[in-house]
Amino acid sequence: MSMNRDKKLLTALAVVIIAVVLIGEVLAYANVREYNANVTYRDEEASWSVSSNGSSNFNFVISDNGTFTATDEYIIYYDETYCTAYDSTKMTVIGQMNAQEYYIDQLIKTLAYKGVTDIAVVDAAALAEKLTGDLAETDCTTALIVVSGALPATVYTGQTDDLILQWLDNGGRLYWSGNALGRYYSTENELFKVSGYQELFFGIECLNGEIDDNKAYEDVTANNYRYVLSLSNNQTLYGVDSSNLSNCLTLGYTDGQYSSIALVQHGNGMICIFGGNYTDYQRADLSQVIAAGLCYCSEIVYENSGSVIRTTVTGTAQLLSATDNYAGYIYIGGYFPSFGRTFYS
Amino acid sequence: MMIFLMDYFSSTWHAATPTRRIVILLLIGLLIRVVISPFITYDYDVYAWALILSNVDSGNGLYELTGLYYTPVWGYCLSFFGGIINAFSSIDVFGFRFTDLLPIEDNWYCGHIATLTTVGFGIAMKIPLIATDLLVGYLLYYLLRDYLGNEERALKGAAFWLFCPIVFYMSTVGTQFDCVSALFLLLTIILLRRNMNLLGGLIFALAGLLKFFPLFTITILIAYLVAQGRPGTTKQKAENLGKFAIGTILMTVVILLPDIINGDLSKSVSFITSRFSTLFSGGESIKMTVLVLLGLIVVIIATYRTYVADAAKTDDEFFRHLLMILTPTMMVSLMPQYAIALLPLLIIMAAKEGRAYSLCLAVIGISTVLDPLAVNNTVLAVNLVEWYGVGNANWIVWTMGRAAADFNLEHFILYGTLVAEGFALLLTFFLTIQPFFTKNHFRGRVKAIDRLFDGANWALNKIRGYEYEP
Repeated sequence: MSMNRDKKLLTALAVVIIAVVLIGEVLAYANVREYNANVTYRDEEASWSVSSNGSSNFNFVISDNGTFTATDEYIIYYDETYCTAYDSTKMTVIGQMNAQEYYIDQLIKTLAYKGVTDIAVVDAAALAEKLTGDLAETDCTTALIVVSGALPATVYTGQTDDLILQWLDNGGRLYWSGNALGRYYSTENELFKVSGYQELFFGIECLNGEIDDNKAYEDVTANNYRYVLSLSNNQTLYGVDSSNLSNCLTLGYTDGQYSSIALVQHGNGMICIFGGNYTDYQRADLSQVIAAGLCYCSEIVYENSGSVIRTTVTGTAQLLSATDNYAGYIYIGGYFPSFGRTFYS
Repeated sequence: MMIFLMDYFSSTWHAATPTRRIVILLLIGLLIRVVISPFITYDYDVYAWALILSNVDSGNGLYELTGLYYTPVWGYCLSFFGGIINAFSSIDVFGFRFTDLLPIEDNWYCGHIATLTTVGFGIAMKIPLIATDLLVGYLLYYLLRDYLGNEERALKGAAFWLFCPIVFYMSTVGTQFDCVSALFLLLTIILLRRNMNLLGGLIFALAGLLKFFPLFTITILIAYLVAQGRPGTTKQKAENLGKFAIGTILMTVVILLPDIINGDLSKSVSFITSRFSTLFSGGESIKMTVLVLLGLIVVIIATYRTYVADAAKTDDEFFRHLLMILTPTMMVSLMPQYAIALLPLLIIMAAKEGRAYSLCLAVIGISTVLDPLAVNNTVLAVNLVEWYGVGNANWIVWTMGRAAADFNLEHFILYGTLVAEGFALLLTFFLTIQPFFTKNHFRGRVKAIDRLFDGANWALNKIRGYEYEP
């Protein structure tokens, strides 16, 4: 090869490499992916559609939520001045940035692309104010997400008439991860341990309060949510044993006694427990269950999945009744989700 | 039959023109990679690439969601591959979580995951890496042919790279991108030798921001650009340096710009900062400080000697000093894939100086691949089990359990490979500094020191198989 031709080929090679990197840079930040989803309920049918301008797969599940009304507002408790009781040392998946603040930041961003955007972060004082305000309403439809491992003393001190318990009785929905629910409450200076905490929230002792890590290696087979929601977290530490609980939905994975996820009725409200210590998987499942609009009485009435490759896929789901309370959740990406939307009847 | 086939290939090889020979090598390199890549996979890294792509697809860029811990260049490459997948392919499912594989996540080595990427996605990620392997092989051939003026040695160099076990493993099985790091550094060297300094600067910035090891070579590259032995006036050399600097700075700014604007700069360089903070933490900090000081002395001497090298020896000194600088940086953290970035330089030296460097190359190439094979064991067969239905997951879980039970044996292999790699790197380093043993300021002053230098020279010459003359 002549020197001149050499130089031309080397230039071409370098330019191609630079082009690959720079086009990749544009694609990484230009937000070129477009998704859309829709569900329309009419009579005993649900017409649905999902579209993507790329190569994607979708999952669609319709749950019958009985008489449980949809959540319309989400609040996350985070107060850096209050003590916490979570263990973030065991990370089974990629990443070590596992502090509570990071977990919440990631959860909000994950929920956002799944269509859940009405989220407020509240401190201990604002939480008490919010829950007190909810008590004045006849039918509370607010959900509270707590990942601190300890509720603040402003709403919980281990007493039967605590604000958090009244709020749950009135229809509040509590999503919990990070420790055994109710085992601790905290102030700015101290963490207090509560005895008989399980009875306060569940009426019986049913939590896996072991300190060692517990894992499950079987699917919950009572329903198919493990697959239709692409659930990943198989930790059962702090998880719920539902065998003696009524109005409880378990999903995800089970070690034979405890499950990785459980939704339990409490008064007019609901408690949702996510087993284990902080992991990316746990957070992924938390966002899926929230986005799917599940409750303790949810039942799958329709499920579908397939490819949606640079096109729009449509379908019709046959429902049991025109008057039931349905939540249809469509998401794209399976175990690597990138879009989700929920549609209530 | 075997003899007939060997005769056939031998006669075909000898009858082929040089161009055909390199094509034959590249085709064989491609064939073995294509045959293996759908079936054998290391699960963890390719999972991470799928996660990063889904983060990008969700509109969260590279660093908003958990996933990417490398500097952005690899993220941009992934994003480009993702764009190709989205625009042209029918790969719609990235992966699936297998319940029967869950126990592998609890193995003592935590780098395994039951969420297994699909064969299609894995191949889509491996194709660019395999292409990179082939490209590096060809560039080595091209450079060696020009540098040594010897076709046979150039072909040998390409073959060393294409059939090096760790190179093959990391692209075809591990889906790790260290071959891209090798490509960027090698291309930088070739461009600078051709006086294409602006492009050289642009590519060098990509090399440094992909994995930081090439950054350590910057003073050698600069010294080479302005070396006394290179043709050109002082003004021309200053221009060359200016173009290289502009290229490097420009590309660095362009690459990091989104992270600067988004306030993600600390995340985007965390691959570098986290490793440095680990290396300089606790009791390690004293050791590392001493090593850094020694390293600085080596860098200063190597840079100076590159600058003052005779005209006839400018390239020789350039390659030798690049290897001299890179080798100790690999010894600080003996991760098997890291060594790939220095392999092209080691191959250049092996092709030029023969046996001793070839020995180092063989030990590094084999020991580094034994490391992941020992650690990952039968998990490498997860694709076969879950996607092709060969065997079952219990078999993988059982063998991993056995391996954990034979923890001492596994660690013996692991430490054995690390020691072998460490010794090979150390020998490489001593080979690169051998001229210092022959001629230095301490010579002829103290007899004991002279004997030490003579002894080192003698030992290294024994390994070389000839009397080395700098």
